Amino acid sequence: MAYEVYVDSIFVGYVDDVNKFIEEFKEKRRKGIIPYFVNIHFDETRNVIEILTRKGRILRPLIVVKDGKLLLTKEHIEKLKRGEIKWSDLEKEGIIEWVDPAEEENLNVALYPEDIKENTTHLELSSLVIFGIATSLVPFSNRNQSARLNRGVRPQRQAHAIYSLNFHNRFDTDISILYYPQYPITRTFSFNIFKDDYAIGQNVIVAVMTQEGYNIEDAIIMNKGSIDRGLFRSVYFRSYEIERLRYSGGLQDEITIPDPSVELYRGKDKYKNLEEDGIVSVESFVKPEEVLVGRVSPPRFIGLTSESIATGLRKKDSSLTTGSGEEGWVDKVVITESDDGNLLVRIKLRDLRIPELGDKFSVRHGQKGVLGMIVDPSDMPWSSSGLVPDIIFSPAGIPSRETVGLLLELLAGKIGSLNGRYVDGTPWYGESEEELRKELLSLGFREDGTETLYNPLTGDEFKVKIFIGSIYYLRLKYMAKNKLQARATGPVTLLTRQPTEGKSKKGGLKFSEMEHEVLAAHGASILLREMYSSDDTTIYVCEKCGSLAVEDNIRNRVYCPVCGETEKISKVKVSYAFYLLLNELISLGIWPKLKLNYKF
Amino acid sequence: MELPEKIKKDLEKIEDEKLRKIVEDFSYKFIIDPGEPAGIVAAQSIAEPTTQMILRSFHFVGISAQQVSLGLPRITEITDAKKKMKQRYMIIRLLDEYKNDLNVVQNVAKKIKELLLEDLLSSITLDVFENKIIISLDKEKLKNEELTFDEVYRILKKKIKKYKVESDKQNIYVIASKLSARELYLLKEMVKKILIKGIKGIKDATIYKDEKNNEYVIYTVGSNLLEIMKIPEVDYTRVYTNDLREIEKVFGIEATRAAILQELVKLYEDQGLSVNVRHFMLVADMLTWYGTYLGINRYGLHAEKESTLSKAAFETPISIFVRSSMMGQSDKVLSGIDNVIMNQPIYLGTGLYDIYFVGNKKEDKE
Repeated sequence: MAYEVYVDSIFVGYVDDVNKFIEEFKEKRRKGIIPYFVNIHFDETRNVIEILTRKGRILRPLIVVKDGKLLLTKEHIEKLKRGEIKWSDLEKEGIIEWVDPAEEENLNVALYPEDIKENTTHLELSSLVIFGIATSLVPFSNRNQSARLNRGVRPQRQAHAIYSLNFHNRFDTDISILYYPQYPITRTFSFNIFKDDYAIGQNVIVAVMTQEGYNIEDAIIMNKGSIDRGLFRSVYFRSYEIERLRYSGGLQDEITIPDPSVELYRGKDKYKNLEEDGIVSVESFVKPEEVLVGRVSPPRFIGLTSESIATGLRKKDSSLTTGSGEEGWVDKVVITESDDGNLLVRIKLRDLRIPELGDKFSVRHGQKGVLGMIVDPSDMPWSSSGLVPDIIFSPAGIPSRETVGLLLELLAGKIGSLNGRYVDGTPWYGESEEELRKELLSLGFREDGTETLYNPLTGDEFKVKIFIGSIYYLRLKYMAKNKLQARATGPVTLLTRQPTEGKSKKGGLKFSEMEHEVLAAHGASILLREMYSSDDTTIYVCEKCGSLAVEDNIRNRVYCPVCGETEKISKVKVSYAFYLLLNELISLGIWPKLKLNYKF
Repeated sequence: MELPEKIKKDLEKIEDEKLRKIVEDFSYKFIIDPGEPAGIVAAQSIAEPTTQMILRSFHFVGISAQQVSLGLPRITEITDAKKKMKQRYMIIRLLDEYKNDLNVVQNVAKKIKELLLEDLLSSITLDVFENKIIISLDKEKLKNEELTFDEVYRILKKKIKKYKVESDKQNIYVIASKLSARELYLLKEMVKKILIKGIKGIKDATIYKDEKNNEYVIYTVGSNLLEIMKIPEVDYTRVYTNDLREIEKVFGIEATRAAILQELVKLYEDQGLSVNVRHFMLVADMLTWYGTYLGINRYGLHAEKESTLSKAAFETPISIFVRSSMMGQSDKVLSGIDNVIMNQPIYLGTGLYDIYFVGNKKEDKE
């Protein structure tokens, strides 16, 4: 039987002996006659051979095994260590091969050299290749539950750090810079590779215990003394931009301090930070909803109302302001030109962010939590050597999540800081728990990492030994100050007259169907009505025919447009949404009639 | 539910009059207050544990190779009253004298298993020129099923009355001279589905030993309650099917109510969730009290609602408004959702009562 051969899905010919063909192909590739990055694949279901050369295939290196023997010998490794040969030399010798997902289908890859059998074709470089960049940086990750590893990676991407050394010149929308970033004490094999970018947190002393219940449900308690000394202090940058737009007819915006006569004038107080050119002065403090750049737009001719014709056309204030809850010092102002050639002003605000209640913190094992309480150093527990923890972490979060890596990192961090060295926490190949325990014992501590702590409230010893150590903590970008919002009354949507939604629009909190049913189940009928009366309106109903009556404010009378009734008309208080529903029904050609039962 | 022995003994000591008072006091605890929204409480009490169930619902109890829907999918199946259930099964128990006799049980299991003509075919072809269907049977398959060629021929002759059925010891011919080619093709498909033996709908039957009751039990894939109950060996008082619609058809609506209750209780018990049985009772009542088994959907319970506004609040508001207006329907605005739409106090709890103040008429006029 002849097998079809395709090169990049284009038919090229037939082959009789598949195995021989593929073997020869691979042999030639190992000799360098065929490029390394070309792969061959035999599709057993379709009985065709595919040769793949296109870009976009993900290739990975594997060590070649021939007749059950590894081609990579000890000599090679020695030479590699001495620097006599390089990776590319191994490629040329055909010891290392690049394989794509398709070719991998036909291969038999062993994970460890011991696993090599007769039919094995390749050997994995290392078991560590299952990790990506961020996962490889988690120490002792082989001891964690796999789902926690995935979650532990995300905090590393959200941590405060120095993400770029030219952050002073950049205009990023939402960025935090950590004041005192540190390298972790417990490191992995890939730390040295990503060293330049991996100062994303601080090493803190953590006691695993509870304190007054302020660290329930994953919350953490932090030492006020540590915060005052600069722990997790960071600076927050937010940038704004505004353009001086050109309109048809030669009109254009004006960047200036708006005159009180313009439309939508915000009041004198809001413009107090502006300099004479209409742009905020550098290093001035701007409060929420204050003007950063004053801009006046020319009047618009579209949408003329009788009112605007009577009062004459006015210019309109379209200044750039900070949003609700946004404040800070003006860090930098740049006046430049946009792509369209318009004047462009960019402003960066700087705000000091000291850890406060509700800020989010995490370790690298997926154990994230918010700051539940800040405690004076005198109210924190202390050890016999006078050590006071920076953070108190709840033990309730550990058993169900099975993050043993966190406990090991605490132990390793303790040893590292006591011995003045870094600990290798590489999964599978790092320092073992036994070694760590022995070392801790030799340093004069209990080998399990626990210590006697003293109760800050009474001065007594705690009856149990408390696990205390050092761990790498990250401050994440979610801060209470950015989320805080409250509303009593405020803007409503045009159509339904119900409150707006979302923080940026000063929205209310939705009280929806499930919440509605909670109140209904309690029989709290009047409260339920109150919850939904944000859009209450008064409508007039004709008692004679039941249709909606019209209120004529100019002639000061109420009448029914259907039957002409003027006397028997009552006021009814309903939600605006219902009034809207009635009107929509009328637009459908349905005549809704309201029959009033009684009136108060 | 049986009372524990100890309580029974204690009760005997108490005099009748006193006992009555205790029972009365106790029973008053379970009478709900006027204005108590029992339906909403039931819905919440059932739905809250159900959210915990989602994660655990991917377990299947092995009834041979068949998968039985459990957990959330099964709840939606019951409450939606679907006409076509996905996984129907029966549990058949035999009469006391047969239940430990493996031979009888095996015979029954063999007897009820559905066998169609297509399971015996080696080929079935059309002869368009002579307008006949040529059926040739597989001898191996016949042997396995302990059937002979003549038996199948006789069954076919009995079942196909409209057309002539002939045989030449090799093949069976169905001769339909007047049909067109297309009609002949449809006839062929029909002939393939002819039941040779067994009970229609029972696709598989397996025997299990019930250790608890020390008897042999037949589990079937597919369900046919009426036919199974006709089998003399079967104890028709103990036949179980999970097809609630079939129960409705065979036993009527009260039995369906009981079956729904039983299914729901069992479902939550299996998941290790405790929900008061009274909530399930309310659900079972609601699903059946219109006299037929209706699901909680647009065509079922919601269609039976009186109030136009409540119906419109659920699904397809426009068509409901249009239809109601054509019928000239009125809405008394009594239900919860109606009053929420109009933002009036709902007629539940504190909203059930009003205070009427009849003022002095003279003062009123001023």
